[in-house]
Formats: sequence, structure tokens, C-alpha cells
Amino acid sequence: MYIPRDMAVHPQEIVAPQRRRIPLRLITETGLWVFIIVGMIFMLIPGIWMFLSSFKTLTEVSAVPLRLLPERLVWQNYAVAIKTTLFPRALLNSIIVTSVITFANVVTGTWGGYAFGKLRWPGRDIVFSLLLSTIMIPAFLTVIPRYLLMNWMNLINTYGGMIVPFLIGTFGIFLTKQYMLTIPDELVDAATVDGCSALGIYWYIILPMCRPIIAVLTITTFTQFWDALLWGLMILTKREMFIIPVALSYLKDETDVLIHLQMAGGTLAVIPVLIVFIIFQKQIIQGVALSGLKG
Amino acid sequence: MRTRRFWQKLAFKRGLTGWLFAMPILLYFAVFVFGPIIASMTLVFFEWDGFGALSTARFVGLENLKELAGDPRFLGAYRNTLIYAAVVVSSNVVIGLVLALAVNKVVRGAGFVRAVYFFPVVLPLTAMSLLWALLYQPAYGLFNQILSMVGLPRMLWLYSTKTALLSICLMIIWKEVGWYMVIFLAGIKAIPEEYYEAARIDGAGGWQQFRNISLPLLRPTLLFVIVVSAINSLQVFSPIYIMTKGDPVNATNTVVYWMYRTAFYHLRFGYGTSMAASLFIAIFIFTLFQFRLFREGGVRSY
Repeated sequence: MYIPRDMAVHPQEIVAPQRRRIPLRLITETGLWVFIIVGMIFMLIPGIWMFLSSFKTLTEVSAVPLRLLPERLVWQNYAVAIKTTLFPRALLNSIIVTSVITFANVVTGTWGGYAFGKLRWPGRDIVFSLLLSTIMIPAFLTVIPRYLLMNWMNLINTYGGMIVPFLIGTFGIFLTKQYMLTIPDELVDAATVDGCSALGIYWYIILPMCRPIIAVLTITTFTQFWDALLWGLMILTKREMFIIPVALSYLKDETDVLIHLQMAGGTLAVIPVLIVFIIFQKQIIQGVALSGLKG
Repeated sequence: MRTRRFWQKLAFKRGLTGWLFAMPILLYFAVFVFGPIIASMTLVFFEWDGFGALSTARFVGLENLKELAGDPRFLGAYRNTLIYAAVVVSSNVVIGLVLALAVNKVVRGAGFVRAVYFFPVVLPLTAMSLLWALLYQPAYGLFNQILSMVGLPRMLWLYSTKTALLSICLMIIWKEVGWYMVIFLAGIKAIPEEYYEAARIDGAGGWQQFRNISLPLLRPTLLFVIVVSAINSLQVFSPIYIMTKGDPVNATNTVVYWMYRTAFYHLRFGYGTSMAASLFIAIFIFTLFQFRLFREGGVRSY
């Protein structure tokens, strides 16, 4: 016997399993939330613990059983941590180094992306493949020769030594070049016909249109170099030149078991990042999500 | 005739402009990228303290590589690095994906939940290494106190050769899994909802939907996550330097950390470079994948 397709399933048959599923769904929903909330607590507790510990005395930090809150706020910890790390100076150094590198990467990335993505010139694709092939060489492989180069250029213990090797990143060029595909050639050609120079096109058309790319590039470059401990340890030996990660490692080696001081130093290092994260939280997460997807 | 010459001139001018634009980048790459690459390939065959004149460098041929093959400290560091990378990469993939699937189900407050999980990503690794050294402290650290409160045995964490490396893994996973979660979330969000609707009409359950739709369509994202995570974790340095300095008994010694020590404490720049070169063998397969991903234009989305 022929049964029409839409008649084969009775409406009751669709509803019935759903009715049975309601309590099950409630269980999975609760389970999901328990899972998520436990995870969130695990994510937050270490940071909170550091903050609380930074106000404790050494006996309170090492108390057994746990002491949740400090008896009174020991601001002295911060005073010592600031003095040992020369914190204002380290913060300034970190800001200078990271900002210059980030700014340079945005400029050179968009510049290179334009040169390889929109301008037409003989040999372009070969040259680009050659540049792109350098992403197969991880940073640690060339870190010693680059240090020797900086040494030879007399850039040890200078901002130059921290900045010069990282002015151009292949990632930025690649990202912008991909993004160039979304900018129509006609737009560029029209500007050329109107007498706009290549430099003018870069400045007036490409840069303003690259805004999302610039955001991604700023975030990835900034977070990467804010934490550049290995390179910092190699280039910087004078305390006044330390960037924050190097200053913190110095604090750890200097104070050894005085953990409360280290927690104060750690909190100091977190505060600037925390402020930036709270303000730009949405853009940062969107930027990261974008970096994993095709442009 | 005139128009043809005009076009020829324009094409020439265009080509010239392109080369002029690219020139500063090429010069920079020659000095700061290709130069060091060639130098590191050369340094492998030399021994040099890095401070005397270049002429004090001594050609040693394959001696460095031979020494590496019989250097137990280096081989231990190599093994540790591979274990560390395997643990971190697989955890990032599994936990990152599970978190992404869970957070994707959240209707209200999803932005907040995502931000909380992403939070450790932005915190400086050096500061977090200081902090976790305290959390792991066996006598009064937070973790052991919680463990004894719930009646579980205390652990030695960073002070035992058995658990030290895994403790560092745990910290790193805590620190970076949020990043991978966000990448996975973007991949999941990019899968059209209709696919799931169609599957539900066909009677597919949650697991079947995940197996037959999410997982295959997330393959490019998975590859991206594995590649990025592997490249990063094979180069681990900061937590080792801050938390353990390779101790106890070299249980947390890693290649990049040991390379740094060899070059800057033992002043053997050639030997250190050889270590980097041998780690390159392990990392190359991943950077090659990264190169191919980039050449094809990034991760595909649906």
C-alpha cells in the first residue's frame, strides 16, 4: 500500500519523544551549567589568590590551614616589589618596546600586504613565496645568530636591541595580502586614473580599509611581545633596561622564598594587561576568533 | 603606436613602483631573517664563545652533532619537550573543543562565560609562573591544602621528578586553553545551522550530530589548532626558566631552555645552535603544515 510521505509519521509520534525528553534536557542543562561554572571557578581562582596573597605577610601566605583574607593590607609588599623590579621603569620600557614593535608591525604588515597583494610587478609571486617560506623557520632556531647580530651592532641593553629584529612580521604581510583580495581592483585602478600615486593609495584607501586586520595584528603582536622573556633575558642585563617579564624573573631570583613579595610583583604586572582586557575584551576575543578563520 | 608605447611605459612604471615598495621589506628580510638563518646553519659546524672576534670561532665539523647524540642531558631535554608538547597539544584540542561545545550551548551570558575562560590567556606568562609556583608549593600551597581538605593525598607537584613536567603542562593548559576554545567556537559558529536541522529531522541524536557534522566540518580548525599549539609548545621556555630552572634532576629541562643555558651560561654558541637545529627536525612537520595553510590562504570556514 502506498502511503504519502508526510502522512507516514503521525503528529503524536513527533511530540511523544519530545515530552519524554523534557526532564532529560533539564538534567543535561544542569550538568552543563555545573561543568561550566566549576571550570569558570578554576579559571578565576589563581588570579584572585595572587591578588589576596599580595597583601599578606609571609606567615599568612604560608599559613596551614589556609588563611583566605589578610588580617590587614600589607602595602609594604608593593613598596618592596616596586623597588626591586624598578617597576615604573620596567613598565615604561615594556610600553615603549611593545608599542614600537606593534606600530611597526601594523605599518610594515599593511605596507607589505599592499605591495604583494595589490601592486603588480614582475617576480612578485616568487618573492612572496620566499618570504612566506620563512614561517617554516621557528624563532628559536635563529635566536642565537640574531643575538650575535645585535651584539655586533652594539645594541645590547638598548631599546634598539629589543625592537629592531621584530619590525616586520611575515604574519602581518600575509594577513593583509589575504585581506587585499576583498578590496576590488577597480577601486585602486579608479584612484590611479584620478592621479593618485601608489603611496597615496596606500594611505587613503588601503590603510582605512584594513581596520579589522589592524585590530587583529595589534592584539597578536602586542600580547606576543609583552611576554618576550627569552629575548629580554638575552638582550637586557642592566636593571634600568628590564622589561616587565625580565624584571619579574629577577624579582623571583632575588627574593627566592619571599613569596608574598612575588605575588605583589605579579599583581603589578597583571594590572596594566587587566585594564586593557576589560576595555577591549570584545574586540580582543573577536580578533582571536578571526585569526583562525579564512580572511 | 603611441598608445602602445604609453601602455608599455605604464606597465614599466607599475613594475618599478611595486619593486620600490617591496625593496625596504626585502632588505630588512635579507639582514634580519635570511642572514640569521644562514648564520645558524653555519654555526652548527663551529664552536664559538660569542664574545671574542669572529676569527676566534673554531671549525669543528660534525663534532657538535656527534656530541649531541651522546649528551644525556640534551637527550633528556628533547624527550621532555616531546612529552610536554604531546600532553599540551592533546589537552588543548580535547578540552578546548569540549569547552567550545559547552559554551556554544549557553544561551544567556555566553559573552561573560567566554570572557572568563579567555581571561588567563591575556595574563602575562611570567607573572602566572610566579603565581603557580606558589599554588604548587607542597607544604602550604593552595592546591595541596584543597586536596587535604577534601581528603585526597597531597602531591609534591614541582618537587617530584614524576609530576614536575606534568604540573607545568597543567598550568600552561589552564593558561591557554581559552584561546583554543575561542578558535573552536568560531569554527563551530561557522557551520550552518541548517545542517543540524536536517540531521535532526533525519533523527540524529546529539552525539551523531557531533560525529557526522561538527567533527568533519571542524577538521580545518582542528588542524590549525594542532599546528599552532605544537609549534608553541615545542618552544616552551618561560615557565621552565621561572618555575624550575630545569629541576628536579633535569625532569623539566627542555630544549629551548637548555639551548639558552648552553649559549649564555656555558658560552657555547655553536653547540647551542646545534640543539636548536635538532629541535627543528621535530617542529618542521608542523611549520610545513602552517606554511601550506598560509599558502592556501588560511583556514577554510563553512
